[in-house]
Amino acid sequence: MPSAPSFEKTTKLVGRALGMNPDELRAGFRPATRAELPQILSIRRKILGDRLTWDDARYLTWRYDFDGAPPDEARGTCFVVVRNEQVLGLVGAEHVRLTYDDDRLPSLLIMDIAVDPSIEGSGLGIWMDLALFDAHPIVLAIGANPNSIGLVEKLFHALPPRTHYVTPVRFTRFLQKRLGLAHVATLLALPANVAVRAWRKLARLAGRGLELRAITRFDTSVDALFSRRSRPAEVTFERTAATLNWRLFQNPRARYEVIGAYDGSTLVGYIAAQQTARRDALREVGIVDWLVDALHPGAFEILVLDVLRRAARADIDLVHATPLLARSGPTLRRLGFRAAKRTYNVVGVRVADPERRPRLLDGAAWYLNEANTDRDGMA
Amino acid sequence: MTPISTAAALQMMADALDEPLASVTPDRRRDSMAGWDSMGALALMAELDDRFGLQLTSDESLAMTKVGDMLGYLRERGALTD
Repeated sequence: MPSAPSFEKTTKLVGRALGMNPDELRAGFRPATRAELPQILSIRRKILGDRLTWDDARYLTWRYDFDGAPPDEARGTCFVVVRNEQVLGLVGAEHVRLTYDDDRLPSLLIMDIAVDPSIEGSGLGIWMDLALFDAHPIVLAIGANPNSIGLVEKLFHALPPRTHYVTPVRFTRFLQKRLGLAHVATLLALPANVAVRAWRKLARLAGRGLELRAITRFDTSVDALFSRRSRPAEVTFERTAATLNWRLFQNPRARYEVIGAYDGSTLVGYIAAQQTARRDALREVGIVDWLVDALHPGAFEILVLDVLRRAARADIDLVHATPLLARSGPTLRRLGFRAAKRTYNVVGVRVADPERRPRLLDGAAWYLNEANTDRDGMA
Repeated sequence: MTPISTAAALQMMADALDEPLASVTPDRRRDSMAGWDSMGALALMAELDDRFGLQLTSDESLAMTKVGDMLGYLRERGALTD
């Protein structure tokens, strides 16, 4: 696989393609200002076309702190390359803290990358990635689209892709959609429905003793849960009340339902899910994040079962989850989920510090989830 | 500039695009080559700059639809010996 030319060489080539000298190009790369938001929106409209179905100004303002959070509190930054006050390209990134054991590592998670179509072929997208690598010790890309998958695969160290697990909630409608023959589907689904319902009921009995309640706002109990989390040696994003409230409850593009598991008054786990509709008219719920206490590892299964129960009540067809977490596979399979690889579930990481590399490049050590992406259930 | 043979130019493209040499033929279409993406295009720009001092622009690069177009570009600029 060819590697990118060096940052210095790429700066020279891309600058030349854009009519800028290397110093101008470097100086033109900086966090966007609020005044540049209309240009950013315009580039995204050109690229996303009719796939852009949300209020993008509101969404970007939330994700990249265009309202002007102090730099040390900013959750995201939209970096731009500007030439003569014209925005040529942008790369949006979330500021996250990777944790394992007692380490907390400031990292940058690349979310959006876009170049004005009028300068396509200039190499600016690659250059912006290299510029971020040059300035940030740890950079991640989770997920890709047809336009960006090549870049992620070539510029980052590939971790194992996240696995997509899916289970029908009720087999009848699922099979009807797949087979198109209502009577055959009903017959085929009958034994499957009975077996799965019985199995899930049995599994729920094992969870007695924990109380499940909706969470509408996280408080410091989730910070405490994070410090008591199962498998603290795993590499994962730090969860705090502030980051989870922002990500799950203030997101203008998606609504998430969060259920907490309590042992008495102590939060021992949570699960977050989102209901979406698919192009084939099936209704689905995506599980986007979970965390459980080391002393209550079974809370995960109980919380997933609760999502399935709520999904059945809401007449949902499918429930899915897409973690990078090998140990979740057996539990999900036991509950009826089946695994499928998806092309765009790639995970890439760049680590400048050689001492950190062995741990961070070991895919078996990671726990990532859908909430660590910007998909928000979008098709 | 030191011109090179067409065979050497094909080898240069194969290396830059990470494609097997046997598959890099003048008729091969760009859109059928996974390696000729934005990264491959940038790698070719770097090669042309380093070897020949040629400044391939993004418009010229985007206009190339097959391997033969790159050979034509090199030939027009005196970078090929045959």
